[in-house]
Amino acid sequence: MSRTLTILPCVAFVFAGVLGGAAPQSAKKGTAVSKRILYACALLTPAEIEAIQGERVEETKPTVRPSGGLFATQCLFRTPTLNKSVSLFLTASDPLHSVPLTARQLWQKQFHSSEVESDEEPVAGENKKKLDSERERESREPRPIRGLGEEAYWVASPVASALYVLKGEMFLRISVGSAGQESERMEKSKALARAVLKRL
Amino acid sequence: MKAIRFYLWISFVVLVLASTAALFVANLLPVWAQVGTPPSSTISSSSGPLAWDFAPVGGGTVINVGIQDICPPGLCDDHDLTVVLPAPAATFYQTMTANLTFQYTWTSALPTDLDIFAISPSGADHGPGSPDNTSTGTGQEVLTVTDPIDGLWHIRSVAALAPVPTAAHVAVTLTIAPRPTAPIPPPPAPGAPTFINYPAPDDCAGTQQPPSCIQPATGSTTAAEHAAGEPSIGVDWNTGKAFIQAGNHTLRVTFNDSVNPATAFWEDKRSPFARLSLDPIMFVDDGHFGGPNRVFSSQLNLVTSELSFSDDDGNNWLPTQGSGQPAGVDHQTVGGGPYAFPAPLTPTRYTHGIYYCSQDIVTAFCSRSDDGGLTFGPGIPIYTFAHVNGVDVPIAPGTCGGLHGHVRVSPDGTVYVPNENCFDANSVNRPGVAVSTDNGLSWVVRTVPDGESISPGTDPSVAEGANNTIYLGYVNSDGHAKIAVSADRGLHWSKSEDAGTPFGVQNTEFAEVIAGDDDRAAFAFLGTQTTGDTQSADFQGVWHLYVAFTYDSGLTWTTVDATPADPVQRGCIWNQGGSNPCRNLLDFNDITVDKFGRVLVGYADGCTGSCVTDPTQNASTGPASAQDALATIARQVGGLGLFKTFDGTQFATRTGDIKGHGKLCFGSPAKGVRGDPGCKAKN
Repeated sequence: MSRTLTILPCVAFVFAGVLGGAAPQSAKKGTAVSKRILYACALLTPAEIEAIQGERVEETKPTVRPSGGLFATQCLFRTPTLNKSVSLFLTASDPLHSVPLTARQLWQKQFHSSEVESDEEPVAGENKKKLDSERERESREPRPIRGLGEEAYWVASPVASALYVLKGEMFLRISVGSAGQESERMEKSKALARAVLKRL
Repeated sequence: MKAIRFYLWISFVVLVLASTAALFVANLLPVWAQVGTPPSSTISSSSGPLAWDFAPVGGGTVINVGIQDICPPGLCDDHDLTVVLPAPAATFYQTMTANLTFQYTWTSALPTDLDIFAISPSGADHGPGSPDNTSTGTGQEVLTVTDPIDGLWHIRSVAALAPVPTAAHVAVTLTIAPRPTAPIPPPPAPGAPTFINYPAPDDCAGTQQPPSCIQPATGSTTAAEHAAGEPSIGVDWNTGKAFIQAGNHTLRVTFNDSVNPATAFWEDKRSPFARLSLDPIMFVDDGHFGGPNRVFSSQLNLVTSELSFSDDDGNNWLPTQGSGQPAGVDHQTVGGGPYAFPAPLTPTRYTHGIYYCSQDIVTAFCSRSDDGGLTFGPGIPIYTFAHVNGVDVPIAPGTCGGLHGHVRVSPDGTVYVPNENCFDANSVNRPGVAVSTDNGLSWVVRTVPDGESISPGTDPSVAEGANNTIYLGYVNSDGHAKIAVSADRGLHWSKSEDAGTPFGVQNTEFAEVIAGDDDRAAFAFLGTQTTGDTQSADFQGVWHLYVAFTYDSGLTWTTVDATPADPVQRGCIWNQGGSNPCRNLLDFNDITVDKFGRVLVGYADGCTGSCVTDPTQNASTGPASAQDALATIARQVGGLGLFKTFDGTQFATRTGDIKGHGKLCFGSPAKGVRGDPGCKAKN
């Protein structure tokens, strides 16, 4: 499965190109680029990774998962030090299948539906019970990031935060290793996202 | 919260207005002037069947948003039904069982869906009936409530979809019968595993000193031993010290095996970096697969997430680089083990990969550490999911929903994350595992072909034998405790076996599995012989901790009741999140094995003190003794363990005991003294 840098150029750009005839209705309404299936490994260059992370890319590890109405492609840009590696995950509506749930709809469900999840109130004095699901949900609240794609959110984690960016009928997820402070990781993720967005 | 309530209220008002408008359009008088006939009644085992008519209801809720609890006029009609039992439910149902059955019918000229609900005196919702569908002409639902509690019930006719206000008729019967005798548990097989339970003592008070109590850690007012829902357990294979963590307290237990039975000394070794707690997880990278016995304590709270570790049994803790940062993730798990070939070059001498897996907004992900948990790589998605009606669900073959169980690593370095709700190739919901054979860099989901996901779900558990056979324990859709075995990393599975069969277990929670030798594994679960809805406040089941052992790669299982005289819970066990009286045990238990093959189960005991012998106590109504969560360790003291090497020497709890015609029944693993295998049958 692994691809070394020597064969990276072989997969280094858009896969499958335009599949207009098979594109789903929703994709047809989008930009021309959204009709394409993209390999995540083609969306960042080793030079861009090295410039931001300070280490060369030793291996790119692609994973492609056509799954129902969505097409998910993932690439791990592995650096010699694992905690400086970068994971890029791209989710798009799959032109080869009907679309019960488009990438944009999934985005809407995940980032914009939490307000009506629950009406439970935290219970005072329940110190031995788990905090209620509403508060758990709140703990997962992503932070909006301005100026990236159509929408972007930062989802924090103690070890592997992720930046989500929506553009057209696809969205990407970038996660960098836990080296450095969270603010530093966020800025690195934003810089990488800008590089990806130029190619979408 | 205000926004949520606002949206719900607006939705409710819109529904009521819509249904009202529909009624006026139909040129009818306001139906809230009408009531069912009669409006109330009483049923008992001697009263015979009852019947009444519900007033017309119209409009529709379409989606069940709990409208039956509010019962707005026009959309819903109420009938108050008093259920009288020969004795209070808690005692009556010890020996008897009952069914309260509603035959609910209506006639409509247009496609109509009416629903019947029964709301118990304790507020538990039952319904709608079955079939729950839309029909034209004669419509019908049947609703049966098993073991209804006595008192005032609200029986409600609700319009799910009724273009024209529609009346309904209901006939009710209450039948009682002697409770079928539960299968008599088989007598313990010669040499069958046996357990001793070690509950944590209370906090030291006044002049009280350990070991009869726990001295809370510095800066703590309690060791939180009674707040031990969803505990983790582990053992340092070098020192033999056991750890059980729940909340933000890591309790260290030192067993003294020089006396019979062994005694336990409890200490609070809370990590100073575990400040607030949510989703606590502890992991001991023990000597099972060559780990250095590092103890990890992970806390996900509402503000920050903390991961720290100790290399000296909790005396000192170090934070990881990622600690202290805001957390936007949920349900984390920490595990570790050997690397798969080829192993990466690691920056430190720590020889195991450590994995941190969790969920963010769209994906579940795992992140690997190559320096013993100090720093982690990027979070690599292991599957995606969608959030629908408050639940995370799979969206396509190869994806999973719900919450995942604990990450485990096999000796060959394969990494597994179990999940109770994954889509197979045909989008059927089944338990499964996310699998990585390249040290967590890429993942694939594999499902158990004869498993069926249960809803609401409870975490499954996966464990690996010494030659990489994996055992996946899960709660099947029928509530039974199932376990399947795979020798090829989940590509193929054995037929799932029902480990609760010997005891007639009908409902199960908290599957936990550990393996030792490749052909040996132990499967612990909470089980009850009572059928019915375990999520209902009316549930009367009595739960015990069972542990099933296999010594032949899962072909046969020997199940034992590890708490035969002391229920773990009376009543419901809530596993849908949120605040609920029955959520005292939270989401899972844990299991581990020590270096002698002895199995230890860490669990929260929800029924302590007077609850143990008082069958009228129940988690849904209390008192506190029925809603406890006391940190407890069930420790194996007899039978065969999980390592054949130590057969005949288990478990040093009776070193030197002379039983059975003068033979030495129990040797001492620590001293290398073997017992006489022939003695086991006489013990």
